[in-house]
Amino acid sequence: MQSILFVLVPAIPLFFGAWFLFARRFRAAAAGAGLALCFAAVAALTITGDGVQTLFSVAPGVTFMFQSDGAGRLFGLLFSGVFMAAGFYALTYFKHEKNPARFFAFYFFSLFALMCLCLAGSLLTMYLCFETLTLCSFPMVLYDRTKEAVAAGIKYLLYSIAGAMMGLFGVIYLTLHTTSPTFVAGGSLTAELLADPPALLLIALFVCILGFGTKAGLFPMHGWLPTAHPIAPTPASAVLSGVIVNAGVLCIFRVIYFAAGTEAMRGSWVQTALLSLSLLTVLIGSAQALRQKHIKRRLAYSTVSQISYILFGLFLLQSAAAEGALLHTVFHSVMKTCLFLCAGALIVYGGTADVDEMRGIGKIMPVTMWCFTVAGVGLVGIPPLSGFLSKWVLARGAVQSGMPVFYWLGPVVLLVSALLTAGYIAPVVLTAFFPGDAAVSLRARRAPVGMIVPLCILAALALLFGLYSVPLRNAVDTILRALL
Amino acid sequence: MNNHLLWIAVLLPLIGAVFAYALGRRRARYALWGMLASSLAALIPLSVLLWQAANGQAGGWTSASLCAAGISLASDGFRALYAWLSALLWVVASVFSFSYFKGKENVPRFVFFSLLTLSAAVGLFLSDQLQTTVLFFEVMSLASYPWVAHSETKESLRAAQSYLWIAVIGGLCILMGMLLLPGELLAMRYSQGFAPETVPASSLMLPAVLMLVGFGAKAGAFPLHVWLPKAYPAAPAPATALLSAVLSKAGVFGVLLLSAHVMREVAAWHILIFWLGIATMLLGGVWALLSMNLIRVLAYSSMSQIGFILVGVGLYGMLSYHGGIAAQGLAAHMVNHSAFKMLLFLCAGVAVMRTGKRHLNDLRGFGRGKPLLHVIFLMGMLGIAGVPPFSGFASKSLLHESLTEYIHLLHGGAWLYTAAEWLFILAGGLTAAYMLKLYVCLFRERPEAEPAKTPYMTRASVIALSVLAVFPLLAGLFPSVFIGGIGRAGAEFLQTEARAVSYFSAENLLGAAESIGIGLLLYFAVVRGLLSEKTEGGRSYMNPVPARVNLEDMLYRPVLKMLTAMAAWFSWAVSLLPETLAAWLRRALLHVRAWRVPMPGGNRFTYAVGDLMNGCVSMLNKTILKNRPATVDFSVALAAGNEELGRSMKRLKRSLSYSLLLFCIGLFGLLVYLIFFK
Repeated sequence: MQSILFVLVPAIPLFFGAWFLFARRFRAAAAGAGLALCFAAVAALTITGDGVQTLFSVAPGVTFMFQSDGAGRLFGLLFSGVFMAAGFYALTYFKHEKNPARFFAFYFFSLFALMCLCLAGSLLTMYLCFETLTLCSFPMVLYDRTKEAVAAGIKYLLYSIAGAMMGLFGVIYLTLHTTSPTFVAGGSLTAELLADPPALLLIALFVCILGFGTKAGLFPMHGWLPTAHPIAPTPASAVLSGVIVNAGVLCIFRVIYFAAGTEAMRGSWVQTALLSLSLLTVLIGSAQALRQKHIKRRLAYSTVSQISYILFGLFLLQSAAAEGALLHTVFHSVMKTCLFLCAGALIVYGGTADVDEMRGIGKIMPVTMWCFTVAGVGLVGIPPLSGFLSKWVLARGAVQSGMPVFYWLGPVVLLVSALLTAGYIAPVVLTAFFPGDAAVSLRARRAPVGMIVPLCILAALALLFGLYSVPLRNAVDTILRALL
Repeated sequence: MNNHLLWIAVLLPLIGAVFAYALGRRRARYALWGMLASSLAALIPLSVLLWQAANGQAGGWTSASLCAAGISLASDGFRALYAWLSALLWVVASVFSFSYFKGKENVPRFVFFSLLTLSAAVGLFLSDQLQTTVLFFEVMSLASYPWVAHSETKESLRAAQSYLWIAVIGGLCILMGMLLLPGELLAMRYSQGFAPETVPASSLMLPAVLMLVGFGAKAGAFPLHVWLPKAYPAAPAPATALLSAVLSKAGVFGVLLLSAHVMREVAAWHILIFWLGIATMLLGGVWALLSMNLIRVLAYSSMSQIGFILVGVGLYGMLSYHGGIAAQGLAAHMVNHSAFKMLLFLCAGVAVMRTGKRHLNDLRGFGRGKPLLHVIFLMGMLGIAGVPPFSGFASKSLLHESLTEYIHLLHGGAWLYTAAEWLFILAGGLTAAYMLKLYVCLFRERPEAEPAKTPYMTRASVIALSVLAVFPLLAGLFPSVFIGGIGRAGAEFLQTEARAVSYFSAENLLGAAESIGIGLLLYFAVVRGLLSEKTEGGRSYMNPVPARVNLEDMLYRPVLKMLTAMAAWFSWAVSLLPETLAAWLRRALLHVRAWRVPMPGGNRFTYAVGDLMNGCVSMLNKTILKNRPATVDFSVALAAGNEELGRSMKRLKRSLSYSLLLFCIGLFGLLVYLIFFK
């Protein structure tokens, strides 16, 4: 049963991707079915429990394998779920675009790569899937084929390949120095290395995490993110910002907690450097977002900042902080996807991408703006929305970790960033609903139902997760209990 | 164990909000009916809870799985009373709204957010755990934003901006404080007692001060009161009344929790609160005396009265085990102030509604020929000024009594607190003086034109206000029943012993007489002498302090603006650093000067491939594609593509990503070398 699912989960999106690549006509129903099937397959895999499956071996010791464990399934469900929501939105979005089949082909290929990444059972498999993901997702950035899109796409490609190369350095080093061929909870670094960690181990870890951090927009490798995310068509921006950045998070999570183990890193210069970089990124991202007028660019910078919250939580190597980080991965994914999809509706049906020109748009597109508001307020971290829950758990973990300096600096930076987040979200919402006396000259109209429904579902999730998230927290706790 | 009425009381207005909004989309008046019905509906479970609490059955309800850390509610006497009072005042405001919102826009929105605020306020006053309190506090802060922004004029939007940012910054300060608190305090129930002795007092000061920023800002305490004089005049009258009567008490409730349950054993904290209260009380009174805008006078008056309450909170902690009277006094003054301000703001609302004006010079003699309004205003005024036998006298006497008690207990440094006592009496005098100023202006002076004898309030509002207006006199005449009861509930909540008090003792009457005497003196010397002059149309009021001299415009806004600008600049510089560095290095090391190099259109390779493909296409055109021949010239297309590619590559070669890639390839090579050949 499980071995069938190991094939099915990646095969479904791969099949649909290939179909749309060569199909003459695009069939919306088929695309919808494909997304739902993929989600169902992951859900079925979730029920079957843990397991390992060797795929193929190119040389002794160089084996590619799939593994189903708690972390992989959590990310798998999240990725396929959000892809489904954004995909249904895209079905309506692309009705008036020229070439939906080409977009959906790469959309499905990206989903395929993501599913493989979630199932990857060893570092080498993970690296391979990571590279595949880059190659599959960058055509989505190119979709418009304008000069900026091509430049952004190539920037994305080169940054990602550079990042993957850096990752590969660590991957090879760790593969050679771990005892287990698969991911093991808590890592499986050899005993002599743990007893006396050489400098090369720490360098490899640092470079590796920085490399995978490229996808997650970790400073100084964040440069591509605000360029590439806004230029893609909206559903692609949504999954790039809401899902694909999390691929970087997953890889870092795997490297630290499942391959190298936390002991090697704890208290070393690597941890200090990474914590500092992630906090710096949190600040830079939200301060930069404040300056952007283009709504999608503003949201892209916001992603830079929010993903580094997650990384900060992971780098603390403390159970509560890591729990907050994983929760924030889920919640941020939901909220940011919702925000981007709202932004897409505002741009297409509201007629403007400039946040200053959205005065009074809330009266014309109330549902869209309400979804934007709920997700946005959640992003700031106001209780009882979900963003508060994750940030609270994370910051509490930071205080409890007792890391010198970071135990207070972390929460302070997170709160300052929350204030800046309020600074770039609130004006959009407020001028939309309270335009004031100034004449409103908008040629906006309501977005179609097909786009509204996914928005509402995501916004409702952002709220509901904040009100009741015991099952999710239990799942995350189960994953982490084995690790820390 | 779990009393379900508690969550029902919180949820009812929330459900009502949705229904009222939906109804209001059909007709605006339906929304107001929805608001009235929902407030009344919430009043039912709250009345039951109050009745149960009065009979010694405090209810509790806990759910561990909701929200971040569970929700726990409890209804002992004081909390049940305040939640009940909130719902009651909401009913009064709903009744009043029918006449206020006649012919106005955006009513459903107002109703929706009002009910949301009610739900949060009820939850806040019933909360039994710090995290629950903060949850409802944040919801309440944000849900009340649309009140202030309601009219969407330039001033109201600016006021709303101040309101929002102070609420957001305050909220974040509260969260920071909570993060720093030890875990056992977060999990502690208020009904269980106060901070355990295992928690060192020194670790509590910083978190408590951070939380004070948030709660104090909502209460309107100096120096974070700046939103108050702007937001109150901007909001519609029913909302202003509720802002002052209920929402400011939510802030006070937060400070109370800190004093009673977190900082009980920290003496410095209570002294801080006491002097903060003195400053708030005096400055509020002085600014109220100076202001010329009816609503603003009342807004500063709220600030001043909150100062009285804070003085009580400080004294309660300073007196520690003798703090019973202070606890009774502050609880009684909270309830009293809620009632008085509801009356006064709604009276002011009538004036604003009928004339559309707020400046005192435009409202001269508005109340003439309106006996009912006159009586209602008088009730509120005599109550707030502490004139015996109205209820404000009783609560202020209690506060005064506890201050003298503290002075008696002091061994050294009593002069400082004797001075504080005089300041207390002076603040009472200020209250009397600014209320007299309003009264004379509204009800004694002659209007420019005699007002028409039209009905100025609906019958329902008259009934609601009259019922409320009985309270100051009734409670003042029978203080041991009303004030005593409220005081006992407050003392129980604050976990001290309530004591029997003789309200109409000679000492108390003397204190009141001193205050009122000072008030009269201030009115005749300062208001008549300095702040107004006789003109042809009547007395004209003026304010010698220019409007732009205020903390917000001179300090808060510039500082905040500067900080965000600095953050933006810093982040811009830092995030550009990697790419700039790469470009600069290239220029410095490789002497690259020209950025635009003309490109050849194509090269031998592209032409060869292009010709080949052209050949293939012409073959195909002759055979398969006979009907639709392809017309692309591939050698030209490839040359153009090559040019584009070359240009992109050129651009990229100057960029960071390219150098990173090369660096990584080198790194990878090094690794392979290290691993396999060494």
